Amino acid sequence: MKPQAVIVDQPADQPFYAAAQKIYPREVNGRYSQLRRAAVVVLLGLFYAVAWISWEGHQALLFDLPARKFHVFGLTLWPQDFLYLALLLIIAALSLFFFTALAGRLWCGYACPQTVWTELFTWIEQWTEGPRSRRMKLDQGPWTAGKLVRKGLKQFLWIALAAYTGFTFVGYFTPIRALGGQLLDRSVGAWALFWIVLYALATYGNAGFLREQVCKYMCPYARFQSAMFDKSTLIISYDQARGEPRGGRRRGTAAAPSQGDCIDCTLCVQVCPTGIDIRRGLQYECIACGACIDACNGVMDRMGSPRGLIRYTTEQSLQGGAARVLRPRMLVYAALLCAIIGLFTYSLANRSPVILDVIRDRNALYREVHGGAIENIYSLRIINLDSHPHRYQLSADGLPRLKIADPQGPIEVPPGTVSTVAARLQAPIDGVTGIHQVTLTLTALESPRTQVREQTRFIGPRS
Amino acid sequence: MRLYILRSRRMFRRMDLGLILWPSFLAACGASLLFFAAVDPLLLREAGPRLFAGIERDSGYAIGFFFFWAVAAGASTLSVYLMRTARESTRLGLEREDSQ
Repeated sequence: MKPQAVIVDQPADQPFYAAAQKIYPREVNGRYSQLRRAAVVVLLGLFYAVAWISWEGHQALLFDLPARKFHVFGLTLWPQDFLYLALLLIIAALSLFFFTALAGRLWCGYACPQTVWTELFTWIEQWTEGPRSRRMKLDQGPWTAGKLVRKGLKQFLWIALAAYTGFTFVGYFTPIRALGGQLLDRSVGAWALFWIVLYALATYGNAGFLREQVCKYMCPYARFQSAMFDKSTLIISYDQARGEPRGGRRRGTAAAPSQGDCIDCTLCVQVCPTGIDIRRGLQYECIACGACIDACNGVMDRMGSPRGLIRYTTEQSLQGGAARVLRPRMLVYAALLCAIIGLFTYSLANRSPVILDVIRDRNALYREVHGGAIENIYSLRIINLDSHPHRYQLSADGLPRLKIADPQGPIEVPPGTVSTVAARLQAPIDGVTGIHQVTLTLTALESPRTQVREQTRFIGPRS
Repeated sequence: MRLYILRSRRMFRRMDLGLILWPSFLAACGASLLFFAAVDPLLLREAGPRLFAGIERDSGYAIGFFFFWAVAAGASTLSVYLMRTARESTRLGLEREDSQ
């Protein structure tokens, strides 16, 4: 039979993704909201302030990409010190795992930049457009002068804040005072301006519009955080046994025996920044911000019922067991974390501010020079990792009457640079047959404790 | 026997743009971090093609970042495209079974 072609049309309007509904989180007050507000003030305060702190004549915290050196208060790190950055990133990741296993999505609820900036942008929104009900009405209503003013003011403040955030962010990678001056007299470089605008746009888009969608669709951590969870991990949960069957009742009256404590006021849903109903159980969208706890506790207070219908708890305790903090999972994360932090501190404390590489000359094993001496030639690579220039004196030992023919004076190396120097070592011809281990020592003249020793071979004629 | 030909009005949907650009952005950040920790972008001047003869460090970083982003976005695009084809083939297969 002859194949017959059938054209199958894809319905073009079939949505592949459900359109995101705009969420109007209701304002909430309580213990956890206060905690988050404190976190916002501290974290954003640090972010905006630390960029302006000076330390020994330079910016205290500066990842100076144009100059390829990192200033962390008194410490200067060069590209050769990448190990410390790598260790720091591993420490950050392990801490995240540790705290997730212990207390769930603490990071998401209180410390994640997405949460923190969204909170700040929401404050502006509440200040300009009013509380939840007014905001919803404003969005549905026609474009009046009042709406224009409120929306315009919100946009102006959002854009100004986003622009300043972009500027501060770039100010951690290129000196912020110089950058500010360049912006003021319009001499700022094209790339610096480009990155400022890009980060401003990212802040504006993420904190103003995408908000919970970043957590739901974009964040990789949100997808795998549940892998760190177990039955003893702190989660936010609705106490189903106590709350159900839900239903309305008069204020101040106890629930009927057949009725649960939940009065189905839906405040927990209205305050949720990700728009979920916590009463349906633990959901992947929940960023553990605790807004529903605060809302529900307020309602329970007014109803005269005990707090904690929605609370921080564990799956274990909900099932009537006791949550354990010391679990194998916790011990493994803690042990790994301690080990890496120990390694990081140890290597940083013992970081030598100078590195010496000794490479033997490849062309000749040795040569006889005037005056009956044997000479070996080496190539020295000296890396000065300090933040100041140094003059280093080379010395050699390991053979009787071994002397340095060149360089005799000190070798000057600017900070953060690599100097390649040819060195000639000489020893009298009698007694240098065969191969000998010798040690080259480099001592900084300004600070004799800055010293590095490197072993190499000195080769003489065969006996 | 019938041969089914898929005719999709659009090869990529609007939301696919996010699926392509976002993971590749993250990958480009990581790649730039690792690469430029080891390589000074000024090396492009000496070792790179003549196109890069006069570049400064800041443009070196930017070129590197966008290069990594473009490469990773290429990979993401292929992933999205191949995933779609597989899914749609499956649906077509089911439709064919239904019609028989």
